[in-house]
Amino acid sequence: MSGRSLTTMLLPEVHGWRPAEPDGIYTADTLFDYIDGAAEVYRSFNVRRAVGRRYSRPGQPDILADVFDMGSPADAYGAYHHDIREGEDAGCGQDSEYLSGALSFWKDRYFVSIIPFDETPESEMAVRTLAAAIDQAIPQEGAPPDMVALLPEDGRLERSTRYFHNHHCLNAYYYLADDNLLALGPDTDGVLGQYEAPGGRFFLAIFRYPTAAGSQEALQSFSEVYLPDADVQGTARTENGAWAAAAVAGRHVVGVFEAPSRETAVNAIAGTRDMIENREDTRDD
Amino acid sequence: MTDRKHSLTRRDFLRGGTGLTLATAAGLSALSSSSEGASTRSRSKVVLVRDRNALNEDGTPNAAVLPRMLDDAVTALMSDAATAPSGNGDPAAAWKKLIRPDDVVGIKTNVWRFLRTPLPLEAAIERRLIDAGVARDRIGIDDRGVRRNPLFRRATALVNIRPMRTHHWSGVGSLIKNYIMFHPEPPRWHEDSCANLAGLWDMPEIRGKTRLNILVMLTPLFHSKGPHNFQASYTWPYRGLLVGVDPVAVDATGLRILEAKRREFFGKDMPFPIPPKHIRVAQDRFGLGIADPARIDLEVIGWKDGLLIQPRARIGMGSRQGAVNTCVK
Repeated sequence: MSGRSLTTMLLPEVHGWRPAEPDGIYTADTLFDYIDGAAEVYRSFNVRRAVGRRYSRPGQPDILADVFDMGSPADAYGAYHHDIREGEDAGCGQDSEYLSGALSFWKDRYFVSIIPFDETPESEMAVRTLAAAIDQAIPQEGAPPDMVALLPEDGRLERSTRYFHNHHCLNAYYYLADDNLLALGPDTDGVLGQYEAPGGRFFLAIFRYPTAAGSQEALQSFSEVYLPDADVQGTARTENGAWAAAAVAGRHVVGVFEAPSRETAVNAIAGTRDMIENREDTRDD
Repeated sequence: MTDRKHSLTRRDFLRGGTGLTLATAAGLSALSSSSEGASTRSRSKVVLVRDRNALNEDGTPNAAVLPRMLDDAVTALMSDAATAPSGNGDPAAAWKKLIRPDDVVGIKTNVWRFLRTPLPLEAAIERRLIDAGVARDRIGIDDRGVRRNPLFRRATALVNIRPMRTHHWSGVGSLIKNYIMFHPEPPRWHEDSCANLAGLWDMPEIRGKTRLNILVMLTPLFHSKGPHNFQASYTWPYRGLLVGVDPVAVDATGLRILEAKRREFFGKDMPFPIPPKHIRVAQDRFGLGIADPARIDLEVIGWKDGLLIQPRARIGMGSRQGAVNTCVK
């Protein structure tokens, strides 16, 4: 869908708000012109096009409505879940949030963000109406990233799941290291979830590489720096008394961080490896 | 290429100190670890001024109050505690210690559409510069156009002002970062969480010219979300200004307030997704100023509710302004 076509999702007028200026239409290369540094996040999720429209109404805060064509449902999911989602379900798209006046959702290959400069009863009505119209303009739903299904469901905290490609995003969700120890990039996928376990919460991540050789190399470089003291099962007690572990499963590297016990870390790794081996082709292709 | 075996990791931060959480280690509290180089410097003074009425009922900046707050802060900043009590001096006289009548002064503001420098503050600075004897046509106010602005090209003095906010690339939008628009290629500074932003301050257009730094803390943004990195619910009415001649000390103090707010809001230490390391690096690598809270003398004036930060014992400042890149005349 072209940038011009994206604009057709946006209402020409909503409860007295009208476009205040010509729409901004952007590609991955020009998105910096619109959202500055945050563009790198959406570029990492392979954004294709985006449209931004600023609505104004006298005596009311401006409203910014943005539609991002992420190219695939998986990346729309990733873009939406890049941010912590702690607000109420707005009832739009495949997952949505309304929080203090702002509404976001994803549906099919689109990520949508509607932000008022301030919150008023009138702006809430306009924001919700805009969102509903965009939702209706997207005819179908899309599948979440297949890797999400590899994360164990048992104990996973609601809304804790993230999907990403590069280490900048990973660090935003769970800081591991300044450098890209896991060799993450455009050709890799990752998922991260937070889990509840006896003794405390922990993180579980799965990273997928193009080949099994790639995952082996990534595990080695990661372990050399982050887990040099790991035992034969790849677990190590970190400086805060928690446990970390990492292991390979075919094209995947599985990592556990902040586990409250060694047993928790070992079991989480083993269970996830089983899940991957049951679901994925683990040949070195 | 970075030697990965020497990469900084989460475990390094955990190793860094007893009970040191990642949240604080990656952000502000790492500033507490004085470097060898910085430990030889003197102290820096920062003034925090707050007023319950700094914002109107609708949350907009109160144009009647802000000039007085700025006056109080600058007067306190430039006072010698040994001879005069802070806050009771003559603001025009205080400004004259910062600015000469023959200066050409660029006020480097920030116009980010969601949280810009309040216009009444820009006007108040301009008024005080005129009071200090600077002709109106020798004063300029700009942000994104500073490289093309003839006045900024011949400026002999700079006043640096911006609101503090979380920032996608640098952890926080700081006074140190506010000069990025002087550079022809701002993205060049994005590497490593913008760690080396203090290097901007060595550009000829900037070096040695900054007389005053004002970090606007009226409604700081303590958390970012969404494509525009803004959501009104992540601002709060702190109603303050942080003022100093040392940009690093002012930024470090503002960062402590944002960290405290994040702890309060989230109920736990909450790391900045992007560590605001450039403030510590400004001290340790560039010697631009002092980030170590133990060597920042914070003076607090005005409203104390919800302060979120404890001032340290106040001692005479006099000639002990710590910033190396400022010039007090």
